Amino acid sequence: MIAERQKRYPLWRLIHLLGSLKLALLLLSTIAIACAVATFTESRFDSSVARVWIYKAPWFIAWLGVLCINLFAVTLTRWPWQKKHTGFIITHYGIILLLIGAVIGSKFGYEGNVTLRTDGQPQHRIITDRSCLQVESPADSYLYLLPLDTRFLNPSIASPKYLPVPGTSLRIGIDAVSESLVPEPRLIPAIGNAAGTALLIGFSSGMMHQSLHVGLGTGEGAPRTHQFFGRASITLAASSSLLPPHDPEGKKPWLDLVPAKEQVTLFYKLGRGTKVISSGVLKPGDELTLGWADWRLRLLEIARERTIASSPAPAETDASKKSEGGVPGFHAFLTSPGGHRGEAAWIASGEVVPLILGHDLVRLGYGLELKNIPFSIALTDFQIPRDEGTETPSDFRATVRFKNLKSGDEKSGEIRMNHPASYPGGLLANMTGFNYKFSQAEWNPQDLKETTLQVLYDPGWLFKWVGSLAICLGITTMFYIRPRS
Amino acid sequence: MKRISIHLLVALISTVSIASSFAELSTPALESLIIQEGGRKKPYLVFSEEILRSLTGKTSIALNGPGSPKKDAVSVVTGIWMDPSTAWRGRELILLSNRPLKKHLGLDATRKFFSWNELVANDVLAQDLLEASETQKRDPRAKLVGMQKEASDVAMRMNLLDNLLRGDSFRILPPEAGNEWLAPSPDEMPLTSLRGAWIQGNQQLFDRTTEDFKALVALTGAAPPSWKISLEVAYQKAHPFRWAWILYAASGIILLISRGSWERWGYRVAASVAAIGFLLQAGGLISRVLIAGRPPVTNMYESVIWVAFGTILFALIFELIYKAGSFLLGAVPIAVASLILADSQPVILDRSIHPLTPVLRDNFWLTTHVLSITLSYAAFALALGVAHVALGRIIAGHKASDALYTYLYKTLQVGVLLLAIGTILGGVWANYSWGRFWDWDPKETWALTALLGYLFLLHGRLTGLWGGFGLAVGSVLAFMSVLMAWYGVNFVLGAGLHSYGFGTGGFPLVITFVAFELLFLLVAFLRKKSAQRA
Repeated sequence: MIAERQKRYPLWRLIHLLGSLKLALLLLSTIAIACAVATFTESRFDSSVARVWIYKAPWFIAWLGVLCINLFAVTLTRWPWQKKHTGFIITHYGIILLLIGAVIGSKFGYEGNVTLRTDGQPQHRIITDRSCLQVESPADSYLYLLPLDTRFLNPSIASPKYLPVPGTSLRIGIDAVSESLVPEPRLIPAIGNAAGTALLIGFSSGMMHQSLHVGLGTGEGAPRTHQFFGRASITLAASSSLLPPHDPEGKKPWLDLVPAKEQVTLFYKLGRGTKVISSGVLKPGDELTLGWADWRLRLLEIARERTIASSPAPAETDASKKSEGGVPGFHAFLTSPGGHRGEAAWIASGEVVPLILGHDLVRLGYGLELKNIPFSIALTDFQIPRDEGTETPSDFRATVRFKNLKSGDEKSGEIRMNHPASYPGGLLANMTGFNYKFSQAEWNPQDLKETTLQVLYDPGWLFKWVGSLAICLGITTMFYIRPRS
Repeated sequence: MKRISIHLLVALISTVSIASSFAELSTPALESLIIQEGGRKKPYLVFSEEILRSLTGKTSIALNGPGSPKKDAVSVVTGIWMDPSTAWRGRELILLSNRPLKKHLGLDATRKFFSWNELVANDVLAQDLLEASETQKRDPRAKLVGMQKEASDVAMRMNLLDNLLRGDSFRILPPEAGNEWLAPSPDEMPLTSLRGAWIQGNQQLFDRTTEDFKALVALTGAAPPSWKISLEVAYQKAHPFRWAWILYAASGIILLISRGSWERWGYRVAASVAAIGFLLQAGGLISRVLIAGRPPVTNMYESVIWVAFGTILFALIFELIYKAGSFLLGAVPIAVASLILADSQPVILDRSIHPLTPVLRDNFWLTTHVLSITLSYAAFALALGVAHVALGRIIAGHKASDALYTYLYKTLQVGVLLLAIGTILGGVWANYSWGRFWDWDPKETWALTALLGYLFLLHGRLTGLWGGFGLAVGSVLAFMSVLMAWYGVNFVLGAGLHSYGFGTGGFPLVITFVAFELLFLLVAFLRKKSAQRA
């Protein structure tokens, strides 16, 4: 009969083609190989690379779509179904359900996190894992949110990527991205109280494959001290009498700098605790070995009547390492249909930067998207029990208070490892996934009043667990339950 | 029971004057003394063996150089405790086996053990450790790699010896409040008495002080139940998994050599011997579950033991149904190899029982997710064994029967079902503990890859794209993906959220195994070709 219907109807022919085992084998093998390659990529480079090229790549998603079609078509090829097909059909539909659940979850649900403190305010906003661009349009001064992840862009100076500015004919051009932008200081002229002696020093370490620039100034508003990775402090003062005293108990290394009165040179004193290790004079271009790991200092620039300004720039580090304190961002400019191009600037995550072209001003902000949730969550208690006789945490226990922002109803919840709290909670919400689930994610060993919770809102959950159950029951039926003939 | 101040009670034990004579005492009385270490209370025997293993990689050593009589862990550790003289710092006690590190430090590459004094005087090591601590101070979550990791392992061992010599590690006094046990100082009981007896060479006094002290600790109510301590001492001494593999090996040999009229009897004896080994192994696992209070699948050592157990379990079940012999024959080499590996590689496969990282402290999920995943590994390992029996027959110039291929298919089915269930349960657990169902974590991804690989194998067999021989070859090849999901993600990739199982070492061993398997497949393939031509 099957051969007969294939011969007579093209539709059946198509169904049998789409549901063929050969296609299934091709799908199984390619997906398996892609997954294997992705894990090695992740281990060699970074998990985002594996995501961009494989897991979240359009071709991979499309290929999973083909898998769904194949799974569906193969159940049709067995039509008319008999009792012996039960397990087979349940299993294959289970996989389809699971994949549908995944699509719904990633389209309409989101993951995020929220950091709470026992002495902090209730939060009604969570930070999602999705980056977005905030554009203030000059047409209506309205804020537009555009999803944007710089890791997926791959622009170059030769071929920038363009985004429209809503409500105008302007476009935003992006010609470079960076995973780690750091504030890059420079000296700028200043007058009045803001003016002082300002200097730019460079630090470099061969061991850490890193270099960084620090700007200090004696004028008002300019930074006078720099905490070197929190491990050493560098202080500039107009005269040595203005330098703060060193803690006699302290073990922290320090570097004190005082500009010379007459020439543009710099006196330095290097020490630890109250002990002075070395001292001397630095001229621009001079180097100094600090004795902090293998860090070296170079005086790059020193000038009077100056202050420090800083703008983001890509950190000068070994490309394989993420620089400390660096944030992601991109290099952007405005263009008009006439081909005019405005001045470009680096836009770092978490900052609002104006771009100008002619009379138009567009403010851009980039960062992780914030989501409002229809309730607030407050941390009332956070406990970290330890393994007996050690400092190793054995659990994390957060007591939280949810408050419905509309009705004002309150409800408390407890979050332990493996035991999340849900809002609104209840059987139905938990089964469908129309529910906000809070799980313990991170803690701060330096601040035991603080905890970070992972937040999940997943409307695809119903499909996921029903599909999962179907797969398990289906395989069991297929392998071990024989219908009586 | 009411807690009684231990200090008060201890003071009742008589003090002994310190004499100058010195003799080694025997130390069995100490074995069941309760000591708190690494987040739990354990018998002194277990503590000593773990400490000596961390220090030297072994549980007994020849203290006075090669050739001198070997001393067990309890006597060595007690020797340090009773007489913490500077001589210990000059003894070659600290394991340093990494060749590149020895070269880097300018140490003799032929030696495996070094003294504390030698290492502390090494400037290059000091520099390495400084760099390692810089790395960790900059980012406390940074993983040390390469030479820094090796150097910090050595420093950890040096530190361990230091703590022993200072007496800080011997936390045997229950506290009056809280749950942090204390180490007695030299002028505190029972250490004063014990050291006194030790120096006098007074065995009777030493044993009596120990027994009195144990009785006192039991009185405080802070001690774990005595059956637990006795069970752990018995478990530590009995080596049930060693006896299990010896019996499995015997079973395999009997199975191989019984031919002709002996075959039926041989099969019965072999199956019974394997069943006894299985019971021993089950006993060992049950002890471990009782001691640790959780399923025995929380690190690489436990999972290797468990997979060996599962392989024999499935083989025995199949033997009960089919009485084929080939399941047992296939399972035995795998179980024996796994158990020998677990017994002989204590540095790579750590057998000590540690408290779990918080995310794993859920016996429901551990039992459902981890047990089903590891049992699927066991079923696939059995399939690997059965495939070897089939391919082995082909190499030996025989034919593999269709029944054998059917057995192989049925074994693979067990694995596929368990891996599918286990992977999905993992997703459900992750949804609770990490707040997402699936996120392409390497462990998740490799479980999926292995599952897809086996599905590919079964689907291809269904279409007739390959026959029994192809199924056998596929069972061997697909097992490589299980190795990757099981060992590779934790030991080679070292990325992702399943980081509590991460470790290092064993890579050459695994690569040798993979190379051997590929060679085996090649030989089988060539034999099959030549048989077809003939």
